[in-house]
Amino acid sequence: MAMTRGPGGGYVQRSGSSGLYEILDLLLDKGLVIDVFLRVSLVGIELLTVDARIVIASVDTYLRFAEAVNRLDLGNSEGEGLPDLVQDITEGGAESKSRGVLEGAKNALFGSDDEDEESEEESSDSGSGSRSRSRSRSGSSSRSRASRGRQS
Amino acid sequence: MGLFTGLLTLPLAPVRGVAWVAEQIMDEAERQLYDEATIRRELLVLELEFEEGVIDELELRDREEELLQRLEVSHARARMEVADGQPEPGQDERAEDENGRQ
Amino acid sequence: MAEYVYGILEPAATAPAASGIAGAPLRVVGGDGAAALVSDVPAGELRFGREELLTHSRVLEAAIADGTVLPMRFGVVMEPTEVRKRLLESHGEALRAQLHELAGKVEMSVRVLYEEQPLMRGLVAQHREIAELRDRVALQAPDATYYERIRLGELVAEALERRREADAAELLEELSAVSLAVNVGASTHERVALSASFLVRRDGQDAFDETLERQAAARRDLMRFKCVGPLPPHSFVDLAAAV
Repeated sequence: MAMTRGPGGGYVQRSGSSGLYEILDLLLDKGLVIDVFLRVSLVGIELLTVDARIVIASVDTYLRFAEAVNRLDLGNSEGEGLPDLVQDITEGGAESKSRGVLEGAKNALFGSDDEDEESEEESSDSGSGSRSRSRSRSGSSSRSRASRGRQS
Repeated sequence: MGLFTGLLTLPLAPVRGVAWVAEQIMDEAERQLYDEATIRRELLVLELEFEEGVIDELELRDREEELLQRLEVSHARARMEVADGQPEPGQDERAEDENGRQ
Repeated sequence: MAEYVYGILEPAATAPAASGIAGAPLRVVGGDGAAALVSDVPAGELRFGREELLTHSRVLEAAIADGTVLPMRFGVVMEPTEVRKRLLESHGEALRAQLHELAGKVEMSVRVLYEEQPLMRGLVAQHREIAELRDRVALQAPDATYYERIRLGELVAEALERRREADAAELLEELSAVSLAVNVGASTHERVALSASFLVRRDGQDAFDETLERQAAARRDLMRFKCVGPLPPHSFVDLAAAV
């Protein structure tokens, strides 16, 4: 599925926006906004069962980055294929999630208390289920800045 | 936030028993589950995995559907919070509930 | 019955050939300065799913083929009278001005992603501290290196962020030269070098595409480029129509 060359021999992967995820941000965050209370019925949408899996945030992230450089086989140009890396990273996230909560708590303790304090403050990322590392907050759109280009 | 520091320093005295701890964890887990930034990031990861051949289209659709549902709930919850203070019949209990949980 | 609003059209516009949410027909609600593209939806029962999101997007794409359109955010449902009075009448002037400003212009949504291997390799090669710490960690058992690994990861994260900022700045420099405006998204994932939308004149699209292709070819060892467009200008309608 990975494309390095688009149609016409170009390197840019193009899409007519048939893929939902590519434009989701545009549909949900951008566009004209009307400040009326939108009544959406939640009938039929079952609230997902909440699993008590807490991902230990930034420590997890750093370990993941360390893993990524550690796995590099620098003497060899081949190295591990991309898909494996992506998979490993998400699996790594899943792994930490599937640890029991108490065990997770123990890992958090294992780091120094200072580390824990810091990691609570920082937003951070890891596999699914944790806060993202960007500065966006829940419920709000990603901050973006508009500026003028030079074409006139 | 200090969720875990809290857990650490508390003796499991009768005042705050296991049930209280469990509820704090559930609250936090639920908050993360419906945190919009988290969900968006998961959608991005999903996109990468699909493009890089880690998952197939079927799995993409499944997980995308789940994420969109969570996103919808996330938005609904955000709207209920915004509606706090707006005169809305029947809305008050729910608004207080959200407030109480915060 | 309520009306789902897809976007704002020029006053004399006709509904595009497409169906709306849940297959409902599209229609244009006229105003003086601007018109609204709507379809009927049952009040209070709008679903948020894939289908609805795609429909919203497709309707707008059909509309922009016919003329200028100011996209609404997804999910705007209003009473018909509200559409006329509070949207079109109250904000007629501003909407008309936006329609004028965005005529003949489209949005190109660009995302540039790092290939992970080359990225990490580059960071190790460029930062001796990282290379040395990595070597130290490699010599010991994982149990003994918990804190070092955290430190290593921290260094990588910092170097990565600096790298990303530099790359993003270069890309923006190049692409700004062939666009009218840019809206840069916040960084949400370490593998995203740049996520940005560019406002481009329709007749300037070739120049934009060429520049993008050049960048993609030049950087293909480290990054891959994705582009969606031409799109209606979601990111460049800046009217917050508070009702």
